[in-house]
Amino acid sequence: MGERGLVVGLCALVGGCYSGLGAGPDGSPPAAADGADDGADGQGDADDDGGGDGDDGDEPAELGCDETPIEVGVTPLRRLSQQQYNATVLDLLGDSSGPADDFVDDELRSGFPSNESSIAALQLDQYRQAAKALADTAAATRFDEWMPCDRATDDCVAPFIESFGRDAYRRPLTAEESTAYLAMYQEGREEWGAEAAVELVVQTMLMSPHFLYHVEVGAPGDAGDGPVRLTSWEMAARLSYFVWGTMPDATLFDAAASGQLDDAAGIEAQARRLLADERAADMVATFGDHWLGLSHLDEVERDATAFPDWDPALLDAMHLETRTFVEQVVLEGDGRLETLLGASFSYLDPELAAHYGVELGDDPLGRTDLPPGERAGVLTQGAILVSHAYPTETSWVHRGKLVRERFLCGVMPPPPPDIEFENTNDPDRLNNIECRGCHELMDPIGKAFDSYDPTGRFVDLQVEGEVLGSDIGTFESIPELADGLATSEEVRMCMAEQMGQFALSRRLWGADECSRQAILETFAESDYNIRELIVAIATSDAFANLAQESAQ
Amino acid sequence: MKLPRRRMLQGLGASIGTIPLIGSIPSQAAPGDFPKRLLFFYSPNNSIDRWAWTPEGEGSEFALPEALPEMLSPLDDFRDNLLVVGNLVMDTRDKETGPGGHVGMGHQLTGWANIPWPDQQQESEFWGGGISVDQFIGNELGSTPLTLASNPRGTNGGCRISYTGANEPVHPYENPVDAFNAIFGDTDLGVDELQADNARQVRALDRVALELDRLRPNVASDDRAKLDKHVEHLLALKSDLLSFVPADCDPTAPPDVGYGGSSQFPVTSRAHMDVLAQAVACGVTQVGSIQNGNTGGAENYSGTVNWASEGISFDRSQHVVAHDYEQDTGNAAFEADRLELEKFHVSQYAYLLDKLRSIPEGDGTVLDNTLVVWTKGMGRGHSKDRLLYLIAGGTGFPELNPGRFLDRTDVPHNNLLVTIANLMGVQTNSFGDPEICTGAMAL
Repeated sequence: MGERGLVVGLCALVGGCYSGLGAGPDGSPPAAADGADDGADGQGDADDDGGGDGDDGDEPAELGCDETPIEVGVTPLRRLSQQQYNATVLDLLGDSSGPADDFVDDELRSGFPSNESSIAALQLDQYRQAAKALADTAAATRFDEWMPCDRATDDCVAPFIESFGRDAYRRPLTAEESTAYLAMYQEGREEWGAEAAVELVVQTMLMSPHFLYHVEVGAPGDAGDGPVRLTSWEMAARLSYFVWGTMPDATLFDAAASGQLDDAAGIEAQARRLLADERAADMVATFGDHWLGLSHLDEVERDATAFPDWDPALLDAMHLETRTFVEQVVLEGDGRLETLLGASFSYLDPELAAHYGVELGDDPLGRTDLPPGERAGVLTQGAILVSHAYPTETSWVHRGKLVRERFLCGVMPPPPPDIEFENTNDPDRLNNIECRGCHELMDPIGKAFDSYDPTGRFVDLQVEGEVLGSDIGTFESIPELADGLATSEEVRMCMAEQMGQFALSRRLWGADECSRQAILETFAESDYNIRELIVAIATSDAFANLAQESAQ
Repeated sequence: MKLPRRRMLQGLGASIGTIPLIGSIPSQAAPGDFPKRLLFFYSPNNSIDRWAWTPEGEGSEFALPEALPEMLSPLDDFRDNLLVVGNLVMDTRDKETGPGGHVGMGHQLTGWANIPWPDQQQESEFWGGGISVDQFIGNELGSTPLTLASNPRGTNGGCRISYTGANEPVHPYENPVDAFNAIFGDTDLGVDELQADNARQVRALDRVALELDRLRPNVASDDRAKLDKHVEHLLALKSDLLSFVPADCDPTAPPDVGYGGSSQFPVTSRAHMDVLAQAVACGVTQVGSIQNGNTGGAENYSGTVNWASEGISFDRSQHVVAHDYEQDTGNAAFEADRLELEKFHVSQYAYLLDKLRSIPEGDGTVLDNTLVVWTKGMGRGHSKDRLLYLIAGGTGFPELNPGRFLDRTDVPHNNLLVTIANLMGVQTNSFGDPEICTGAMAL
């Protein structure tokens, strides 16, 4: 291939470039990577404040987490993600129209959806229009079911408002709310009739902050400055959005109502029930999509001249491969991180099996054994390989960056402006003092991925790679890299970090340190089982408590 | 295209978007009797180098030649409407904390350095640091800007140019049909029915505002600001619904051919510009923007440019085409691709000018009373230097004196934003970061 520029060329000023979670016994980002001693301009320090304020001086390991009061980080107020909105209206209204597909795209923070910014005018109107359309359909189709009684009487209407309101707000309505919605209904009924009135009630609830946001204010507490526990209703919602990506079901609401979520044992029982339910599958696969950086998979194109055999339909097959694999390993298989990274099997359809050049098994899900030495785990699956490559050639930088950021939790800053370079995959970067600081962290990993072409096919190539500054060291094939990653302490910590971000929209650094230690301990005891990681996060202090602002 | 000024009693539909509709415009009037309008046209990546756009001439100010430089040649027919402003500098970038050439996305219309997200991991995890000039001017004129984008691909600072304030991005309409429906309406309801429906909507909004207000004291202070913003938008929406009057024109809806996606990028952009031109002609708004792609283009790096509608295709993304050109390897193919790509964007800009010129207004056209500003987030080599701006307009802006080239080497881009405000009749001496802005750019 000819010379190419880079989207993220990453000849970086090395100030902001650190290699991963390896250092930092307190869980804070470790110091800058090897050789990162020139050109620092302050960018690196943009990442050091974690979720907590003013906790930088703590040394939790010495304080002893058992003796100190509970301390937790701050999860920002955020709106439902698009996926959560669609799933919630499906459960709440039986409406599968997926209105959130047309919303402004989710904000991705650290790779995971988290709509933390203030709502904008367009979003407000999108929520309003969606609520109106949903309420219109629901009132027309479910009215009889909702109110099988005399719709003029409070006795008929109030129970509907209470039960629908509880489901929409994910907690019982207050007396004020029940009264106000009953009045809204009765006034509306007199003016426009019962159906229009119920439509307005439903629409309004779907526009309420208690529906649109993950509202978590905690139980009214006695505690001074210390954290407060979530209410049991808030806990139920946190749990179901974490494990299912949707609102609680009736059983979970019942558990909240009966106080079963007031202790870790009750939370654990529900977390395990949710994990065992088929609704967990979609959420685990969605986690995988974000974890592995697959959000742009549907935009991938391959140059027809360079790859005449490429069939764009393979993109769907590759996506299905990874989603099925992650789902099956995490929920049905041994659940282990080591298997996600190192499995000698995958789930293929006939076309993808032919593309990989492997013999398809007769498993109904397409479970197929992979040729040893050629492929192992998620890293060698087509979805990752094709979405981290250019249309005509591989990308050392993007493939290396993926491993650094998503498996080792490193931060790779953008390249400075005004850089000149010759090739996309340019060995000279490692000879250039300005470029080397970051590129030596990425390129030697990404280059070894040249044993997979931009369409994800295996290329029999002598490769040699190195994960500099880590406990992984050198490797001679990607399956060997996968083995190294699978047993790396840094990767285990990073996995917990990613799952924590997914669950709580924050970094489990700083104030969350004791929770982080407890989660890592349980993860380790389970031999790094992702199911147990999910349960450990769900039962952590970080998950059950809200930080309070100090008195103002 | 003509916009017959037929009063619409029916069929204008649910104009219940967030954009207040302004009354009718007299059909016979002289320039100056019409509202001044302002449209921004954003295109991705860096300015191509000066050889492609600097016209031949002496000194720092001179008349444009009959034939424009190669990159600008799609604008030959608009020479007399065109002011070419070269070589400004985006000094606000000196205040960025991190490296990276794409931060200018947030600077270009705000005149401020960005605000990174907490725990920033990726280059584009930021929002702009202040109100953008389109929103500022809209506020001053009492006109809500119409913000449109073709394939912005994401919700972060690398994908937004318009801000109502620091950390407050304005999200654009991405589908021209949605934009059209929001401002002109898409239902068959009559005015009475619409107003009755809007009255019901107001009851919902009032209740939601009350719930936001009750929730407010129970959340953290950072979160309180979010709820305040939510209430502010609710009140604005309520006011729009209550003051609803149908637009006094007969707009043409974009055909629903399926918009969005890389291959439809040029078509989507033109459909947006059709909506934009009709919106300003019809008096729906005086200010708007069309954002073509995000900071790097309209494709992921793993994708290609394949625009059957234009007969343009590259085996790589726009962003990679731009970077290839920057390598100074003298590779003629890279240079040709880059020029073809940039000429395409200039031709899209010309499309908007042509659209505005095709709509009569008084003795002239809408273009006479509209400033159309070509803007980018970066200069050559992703740097802050050598920015190119194009400002098109007509007789409604006597101070513009188009048909000229202005070399404004090292003048901060904030100064240009001041000049644009002043041209729009909004008097100010500074815009954006006052430590950078040194007053209006001389015209």
